[in-house]
Amino acid sequence: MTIAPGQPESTSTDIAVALDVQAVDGAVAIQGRSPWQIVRRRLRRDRVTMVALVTSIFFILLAATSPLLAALGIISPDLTHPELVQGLGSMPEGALGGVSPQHWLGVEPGTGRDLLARIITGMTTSLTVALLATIFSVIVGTVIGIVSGFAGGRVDWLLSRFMDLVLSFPSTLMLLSLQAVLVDRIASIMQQPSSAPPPKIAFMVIVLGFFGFPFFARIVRGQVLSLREREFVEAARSLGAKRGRLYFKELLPHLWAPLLVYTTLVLPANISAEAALGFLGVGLNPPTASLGAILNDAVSYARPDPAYFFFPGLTVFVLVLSFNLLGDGLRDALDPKSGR
Amino acid sequence: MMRTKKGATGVALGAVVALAAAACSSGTSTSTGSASTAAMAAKGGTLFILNLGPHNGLDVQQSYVGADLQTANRMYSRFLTTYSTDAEPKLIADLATDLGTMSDGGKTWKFTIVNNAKWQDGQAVTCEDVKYGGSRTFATDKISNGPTYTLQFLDIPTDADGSSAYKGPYAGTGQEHYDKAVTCSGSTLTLKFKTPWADFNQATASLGIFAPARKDKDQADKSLFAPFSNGPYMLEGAFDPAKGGTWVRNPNWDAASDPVRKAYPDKIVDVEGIQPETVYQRLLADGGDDKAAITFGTAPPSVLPTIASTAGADKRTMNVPAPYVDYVQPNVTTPAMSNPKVRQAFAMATNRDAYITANGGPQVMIPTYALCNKVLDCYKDFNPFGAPTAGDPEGAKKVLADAGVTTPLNITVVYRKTATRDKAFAALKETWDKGGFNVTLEGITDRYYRTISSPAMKTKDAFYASWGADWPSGSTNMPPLFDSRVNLTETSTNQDYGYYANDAVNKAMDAAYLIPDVAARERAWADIDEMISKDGGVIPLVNQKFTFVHGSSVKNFQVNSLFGGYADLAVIAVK
Repeated sequence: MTIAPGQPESTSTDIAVALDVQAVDGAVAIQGRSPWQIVRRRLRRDRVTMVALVTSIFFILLAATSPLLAALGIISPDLTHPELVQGLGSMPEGALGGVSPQHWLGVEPGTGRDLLARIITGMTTSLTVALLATIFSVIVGTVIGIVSGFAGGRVDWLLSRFMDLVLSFPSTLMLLSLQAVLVDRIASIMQQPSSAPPPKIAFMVIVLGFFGFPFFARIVRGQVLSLREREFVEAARSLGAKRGRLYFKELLPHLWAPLLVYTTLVLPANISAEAALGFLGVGLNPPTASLGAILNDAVSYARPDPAYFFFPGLTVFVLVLSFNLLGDGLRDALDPKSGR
Repeated sequence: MMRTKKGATGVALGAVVALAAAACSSGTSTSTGSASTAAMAAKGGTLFILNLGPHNGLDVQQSYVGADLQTANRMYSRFLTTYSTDAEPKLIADLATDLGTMSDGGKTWKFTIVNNAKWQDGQAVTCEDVKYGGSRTFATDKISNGPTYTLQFLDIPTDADGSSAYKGPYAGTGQEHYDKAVTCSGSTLTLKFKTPWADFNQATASLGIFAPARKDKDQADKSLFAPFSNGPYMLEGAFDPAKGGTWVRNPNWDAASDPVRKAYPDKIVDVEGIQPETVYQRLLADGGDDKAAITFGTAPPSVLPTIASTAGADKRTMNVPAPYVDYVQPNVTTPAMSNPKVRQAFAMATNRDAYITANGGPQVMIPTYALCNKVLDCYKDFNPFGAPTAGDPEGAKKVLADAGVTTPLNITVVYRKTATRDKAFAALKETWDKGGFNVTLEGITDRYYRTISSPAMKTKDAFYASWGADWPSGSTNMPPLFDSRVNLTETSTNQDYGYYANDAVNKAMDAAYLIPDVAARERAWADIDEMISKDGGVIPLVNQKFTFVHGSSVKNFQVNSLFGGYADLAVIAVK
C-alpha cells in the first residue's frame, strides 16, 4: 500500500492494521481495512450507539416528513377540538390528558389540538434550527480554526482572543436582547415580513451558530497545530502548494473525525437551546409548534394534566440523549487510541 | 380623555392577568357575593396578601392599577369619596362631608373636608393637603403612570405645545393658574373645570387624583414606596417592591371618624414575588400563616381543576365578574380593513367560544358583543351582524364574496404574547381562516401597548387589547378608546390602536357628555358602543372573570364590584 502524502489514510492505517491483528487474535492473514471500515465495525459492535443511531435517524426522518404528513392530512397539528377540552379550566377529558385511538398522546388543554402532531411538527422546527445552527458553527469554526492554527503569530492571537470573547458572552441573554433589532434587520434583507418564519429561523440559526463556533474552532486549531508540523504538510509546502491547498486539501481531510464527533455533541445542545428559547417566548409565531413553546405552556399544567408535560418533555429528553450517546459512540469508534 | 391605562405606560409584567392588566376600577349594579358569613369578625391577627409582584407603587397619584388603588384607599389613603362595602356598593363621602356639590353645569365642584381626619403623625388632614395632592398630578416629569384627567379638565391654560401651563408643585411654574382653578377657603375645596365633568365625584372615588398629600413629607418620585398614611394602617419599615412589606395600625386613625373602614386585622403583610400557581397551591393547602392569606391575582385556569378537587375549597372560592373587556380592534387604514365589508366579515368570523375555551372556559370569561362591561349601566345587549358567539365563517365568506374581495385575504393580527394567548389566537385564527381570511399571528411580549400604538405598527390589520373602565361610566370607555381627536397624533395612536376616526361618533360623544340625566347619559354611551361595533370599528370578545381562593381563617371575604372586583380590605378579618 502506497501512502501518498496528505491522504487521510496515512494517519491511522498502521494502527488500524495493528488493531485488526489484535481483534482477530493472532490470525495469520493480515487484512488491510480502511479507517471507515474499522469505524463501521466498531460501531456495529457497540449496541448502545446503534440504538442511539437508529433513534436519531428515526427522529430526523419524522421531523423531515412532518410537512408532508400534515399536507396529506395524516397529522393535523393546528386543528382544534374544543369538544375534547370541556373539563374544568378547559382540561382534556379522559385519562392521561385525553389519550384516545385518535389522539395517541392526548390533546392540548384549551384547544384540543393533537399533542402527538404538535410534538412532531415541533420537532421539525427544533431540529431545523438546531441542524442549521450546527452546520453554521461547523463551517465558521473550521475555517477560523484552520486559519488560526496554521497562520500562528498575531493572527492566531487575535482569533483566539476573539473566540474567548464570544465564549464568555451569555448566549441566551444575547439572543433575547438581540431579537428585536436583528429579526427586523434580517427580515428586511430577506424582504419578508418580520412575522414570517424564515427571518426568525435565520435569526436563531445565526445567533445560536455564532455562539457555537468557538467550540469547533478551538478543536480544529488544536489539531492543526499538531498537523502542520507533520512531514506531509512540510512536503506539500516545499513543493510550493498554495495556502488554500494546504488548508483544504492537506489539513481538512484529517479533521473530519473530531468535527463529526463534535457535531453530534453540539447538535443536542442546540436542540435544548432552541427549546429553551421557545420556553422563553422567543421563536416562531403560533400556530407553528416548537418543543420549547409546548413545554412553556405545559409547565403551568404540570399538576392538573401531567401527561401534557410528560410527553413533550420525554421527547426532548430522548432526542437529546440519543444524539449525545451517538456522539459518544462515534468518538470512541473514531478514536484510534480508544482501547477497543 | 386620559392618555394612559396601566398596561400602556408602565408594566410589562406580562404574566399576571389581573394585576398588570388594564386600567382601573369598574362597576356593577348587580352582584357582590360573600363567601363567608359576615358575623363573628373581630379585631386582631395578621392578614397575609400573596401576590406575584413586583408592586407597581404605593403612591396613589402614581397608580393606575385597580388592586393597588383599592388597597391604598382601604389601608392608608382616604379619598374625597369612596365606595361603600354593601352587597351593592354605593358612592359615599369619605374625606368630604358629602358627595360634593356640582354647579355651573358641571364646571364647578365644591367639597367640604371633614374636620376629624388625621395623618399618622397626628396632624389634621386639611383642605390644603387635598389641594396639594391634586397639584402633584401636574408634575408629569416626576409623578408618572397615574391618571392625568386633571391636566385635561382643570381650568388651567395650555402652552403652545399643548401641555399644561402648570408644571406641578416641584417646578412651581404656573402655580398662579393652579391656585385659581383649585381654591381652599377654610375647609371648603372649590374646583373649576374647562369643560363639564358631571361624574367627577365618581372619579375621585376610583382614582387617587385628589387624595391628600402632605407637602412636608412629599419626596416627589421617591414617594413611590414611601406613603404617608391617613388611614387605619401605616407602613412599618421599608417596602420592597419585589418582596413586599408590613403594615401596622396607625395610632392616630380614629375608627369613629371613618365611614367605611372596619380595619379588623392588627397587621397586614404584603408578600410579593410568588408565582400564581404557587400562590394557589399554598392557599389550597391552607397551612400555617396561609390560613390567613388572600391574593389579588386571579386563579390561572390550570389551577381550576385542583380547586374543584380540593375538599372544602368551594367554601373558600369566589368566581366574580372582573372589570376587563378583551377586544380586537381592526386597523381601518390598512388596504384590507379599510373596507367596511371586510371588517364586517372579520367580525362575523370571530369565534368567541374558542377564545374562551382556550383561556380556560366559562369560569374565566363570558362572551360579549359590547365594549362596555356587562355589569355597567352603559351596557346594551346587541349583536351587530347577527353572528353567533362561535362565529359564522360561512356568512363571513359570503359577505367577502358579495363585496368582490379575493379570498383568502392575507391579514396580520397582533396580540400580547403569553403561552395561553398563543393558543387563544390560534383558535381564533382557525375560524377566521375558514371565513375567507389567511391570518398571520404576531405575538409581542415587550411593552405591548406602547409598541402597538407606534407608527411602526400601522401596517398591521388588527390588534388585541384589554380595557377596564376607570370609573363606572361609559365616559371612561368610548372617548378614551375611539375619540380620534384626543388619541391620534403623529407619533402615536395612544389608545385608538386601529386609527378609528368617525366624525359621527365624535359628535355623538360630544353630545353624550352634555346629557345631564345619568341614566340617559349612560344609554347614549351604549348607543355609541353599538354604532362603533356596527361600523366594524371594534370587535369586543369577552368580559373577564376573577376566581379567588382565600385561607380558611379569613372572614368577611367579599369583593367590591365598584372597586375593581378585588377582596375588600375595609371589612376583611382574620379573627
